Amino acid sequence: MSRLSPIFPRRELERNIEDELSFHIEARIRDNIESGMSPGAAREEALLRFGDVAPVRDACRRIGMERLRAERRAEMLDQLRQDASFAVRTLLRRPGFAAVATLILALGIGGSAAMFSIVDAVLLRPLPFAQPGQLVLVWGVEGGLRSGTSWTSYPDYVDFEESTTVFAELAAWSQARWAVTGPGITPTRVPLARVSHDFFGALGVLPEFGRGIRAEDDRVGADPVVVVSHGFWKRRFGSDRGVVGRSLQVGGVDRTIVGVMPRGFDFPGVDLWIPLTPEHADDSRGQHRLRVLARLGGEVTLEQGEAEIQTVARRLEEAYPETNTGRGARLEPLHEAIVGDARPGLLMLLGAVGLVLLIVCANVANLLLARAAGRDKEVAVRRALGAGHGRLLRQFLTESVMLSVFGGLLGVGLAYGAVELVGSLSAADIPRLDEVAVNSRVLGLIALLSVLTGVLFGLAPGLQAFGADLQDGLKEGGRTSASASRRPRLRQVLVVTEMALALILLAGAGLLINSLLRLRNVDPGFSARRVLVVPVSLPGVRYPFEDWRETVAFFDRLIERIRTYPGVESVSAGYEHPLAGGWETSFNLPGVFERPVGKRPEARIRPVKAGYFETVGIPLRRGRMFTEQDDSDGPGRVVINESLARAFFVDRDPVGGRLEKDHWWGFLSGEWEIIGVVGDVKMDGLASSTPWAMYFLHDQWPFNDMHLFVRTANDPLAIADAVREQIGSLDPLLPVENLRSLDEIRSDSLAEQRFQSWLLGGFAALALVLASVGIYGVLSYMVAQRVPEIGLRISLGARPGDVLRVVLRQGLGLATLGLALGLAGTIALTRLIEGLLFEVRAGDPLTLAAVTVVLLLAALAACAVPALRASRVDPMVALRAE
Amino acid sequence: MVHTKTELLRGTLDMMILKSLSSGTHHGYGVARWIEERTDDVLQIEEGSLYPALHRMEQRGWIESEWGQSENNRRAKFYRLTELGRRQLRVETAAWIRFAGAVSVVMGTANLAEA
Repeated sequence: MSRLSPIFPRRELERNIEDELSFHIEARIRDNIESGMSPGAAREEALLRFGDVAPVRDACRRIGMERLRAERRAEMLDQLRQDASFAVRTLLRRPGFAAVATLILALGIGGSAAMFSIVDAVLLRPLPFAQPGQLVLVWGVEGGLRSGTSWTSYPDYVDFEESTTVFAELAAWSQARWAVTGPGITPTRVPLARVSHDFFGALGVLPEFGRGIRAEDDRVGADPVVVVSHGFWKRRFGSDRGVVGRSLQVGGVDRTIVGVMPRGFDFPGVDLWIPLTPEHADDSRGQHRLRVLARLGGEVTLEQGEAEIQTVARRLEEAYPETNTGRGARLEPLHEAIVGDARPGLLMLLGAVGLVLLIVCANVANLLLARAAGRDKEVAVRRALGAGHGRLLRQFLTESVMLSVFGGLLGVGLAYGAVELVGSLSAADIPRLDEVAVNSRVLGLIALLSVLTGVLFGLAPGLQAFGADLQDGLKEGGRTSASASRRPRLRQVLVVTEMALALILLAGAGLLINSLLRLRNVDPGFSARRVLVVPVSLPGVRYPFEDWRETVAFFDRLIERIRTYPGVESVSAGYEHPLAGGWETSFNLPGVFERPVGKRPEARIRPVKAGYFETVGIPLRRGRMFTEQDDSDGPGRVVINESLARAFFVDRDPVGGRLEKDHWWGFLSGEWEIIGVVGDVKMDGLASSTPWAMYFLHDQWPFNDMHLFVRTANDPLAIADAVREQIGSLDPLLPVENLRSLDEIRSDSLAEQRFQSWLLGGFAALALVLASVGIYGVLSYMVAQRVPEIGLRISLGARPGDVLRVVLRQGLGLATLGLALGLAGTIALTRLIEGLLFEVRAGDPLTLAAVTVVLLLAALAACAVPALRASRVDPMVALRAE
Repeated sequence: MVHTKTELLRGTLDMMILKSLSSGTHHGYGVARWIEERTDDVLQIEEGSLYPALHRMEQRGWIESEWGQSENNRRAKFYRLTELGRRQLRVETAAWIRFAGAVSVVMGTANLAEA
């Protein structure tokens, strides 16, 4: 079979075609002449018989090119196979090296993939609803401000729905944890949402079977229904399809199950959905208890939607000045509302893992270079056999890509494991964490990273081999002239880079840890030691607000019973645990800060029992706290917190002053006497400032949902069973769950910061180890190279101590260079994470100094061994080896 | 005499080229002459179309080629049949016979009908 010459195949192809075609025509001409035609006629006839030459030439050329391409492809594949099998053999010859490199790569690639899959699931992927880009949340904004996340009242929501045209759907919901029980089911508290009938429609989700909430269900007097989540259905009903029509008691009301939602849907983080039948409290336009979700219609933009809802809000302001003065509205895309808070932290971690990957590449490149030094002979032989630069480079790259592909495969396993771990930790309230999985995008990223990292660090030995050529070409032989592959310059550069990157990671981790420590030291305003916290919620159905005295009595009885237990120092009850925000409501201070309705300031409202402040450890500042003498029938009394006192009373004594606050249930007057001032509590979280707060006496402001606080002499959890027993004896249908100590609650509130610190700290530690090993490797190498020189020096009188010092100086010189670069990088980059820090500036000198010292110590440790080895060189052995 | 060119289906041309090579090795012009002689010049094909056909068949492995010297020492590309080509020839011949037979039956009875 004719093959084309390898040098200029295309030209050869053209020549052949020309030759073949012209041969044919010439032959015909000759035959024509032989049969008697004139040369002119012969030519003409030949061309006529042949037909159009150009298309024939084109067709032949096309076919020829196709063959060429196919041949070239086959040849390339062949070469690739050769390279691959050679690479495998080479790697297997040094299994230790291959194993280490693969492991390091697996860590880098797998870690990056795991982090990416988290970022992908949480930030990048659209929400699992129909056309999620159209979904927005409607927030109220107070005081004419542009930002805020105030909730909406039921009457306002109804007005929004009736007066707006830009929304395809407008739905509202509120969340709660209510007791759920049923035949054969122990009562537990289940998160649920009260939703308007267009809720599921707005999200565009259909139930898996049965139906959702319909308009009829919303009306007062309708048959009570409930829709359950897939998870709830699986857990409680064992995936029994006959569940529709069964009864479930929710919050003391028997409801019929009408539908089951599909797997994976649980917005807004609940197991049950019941109709948003307006309650008594929903009559008030000033009670902002609902969150509102909307779907923008068709082509409507966010700006258009916001403009219209602001117009409606303004109209409401004018129509209802007592409740709506200063109230505006704004829209926030649902995706942003859900993931916005998590974004900075996650992006920081993604960036950090990227840096780790770079360090990994530098490290493996260093390993390869270390090996390349031992392959000079092999390279020379292959050169002699005719392998060109390109071929050699390709060979090296095949090896390195193969390494990184193995690393990547191992990394897949690592990524799976990491994702499982993260899922089980439900770390730090990161939203949508249950959607994290190693999906095709993540696998694609792993594949891409494998190839890219392989090429990146594979270039190192390849480039050095080229350098070798130039060097050898210019220098004459001689043992003292090291070939370029023996010069450590490239390796030094890599190590310096590793050190710099490691410092950046260490600095980031240091800042986060510093920030976390400060947060932990924040005085929360209460004493968290040895206090058990038990949520106790009395269902409105069995404890209606008309019988509020029963509610008051229940808690009194419960407190009385627990007080008698041995080991109990004090017991009380209060609304929500101290670090949870709570309701905000307006108040008025006649004579001090009097304002008309609608322009009044707002404060947190916390009904508490007598003894609350003592039990929880909130100090008294002025006046007195609630005692047993204060009761339901006495005059209205309130305790305010320091911030409120400072803000409004400045230098005056608030004790004895009047506070006006209309009672939500209207059966008591709105006049309250300020009897005391207590210390501030970090109600919005340890990192936030303290809001204004009013503490009412539970007997005078009887909430059904309270928390029991029990201060014990020993471990608070030891008394948990006793408490459970007492609650059960008073009301066996009450679910008693989620008993925690106040300490636990406080530390849980820092879960996100802890998660970030741990993770970044882990990355930094890995980086430090890699960088240290890197510097150890390079220094060992440099020492080994100069053994003869060292031997010579020692034999000429140099002391071991001198040698030690010289080598150490070399090593620490590299480390210091890396440090300097790292500091520059740190200053540039840490600015980006300032938002994640608490009371720590990005350029905090103490932290930077600390991590610098850590890095130097690690470098010193890494340099110590080679330096010691150098100082112990036996001059006889060294010189003999010459 | 004016030669009118006959339009041939590609498959038919391929088949005839294979046939021509079954008797021996030819260059492209040789194939053209062979067809000319065999059909007494009745079948006049556009000779240029031989070459794309030859190259395609070579790509398919039905024929193989070799550069050599022609009768008058000119550089020419010679083709010969491969085993695969031989098999292909048999297949195509059988198919052609079936096809031609069917057509002639149709044409034959049509004539009778008109007669």
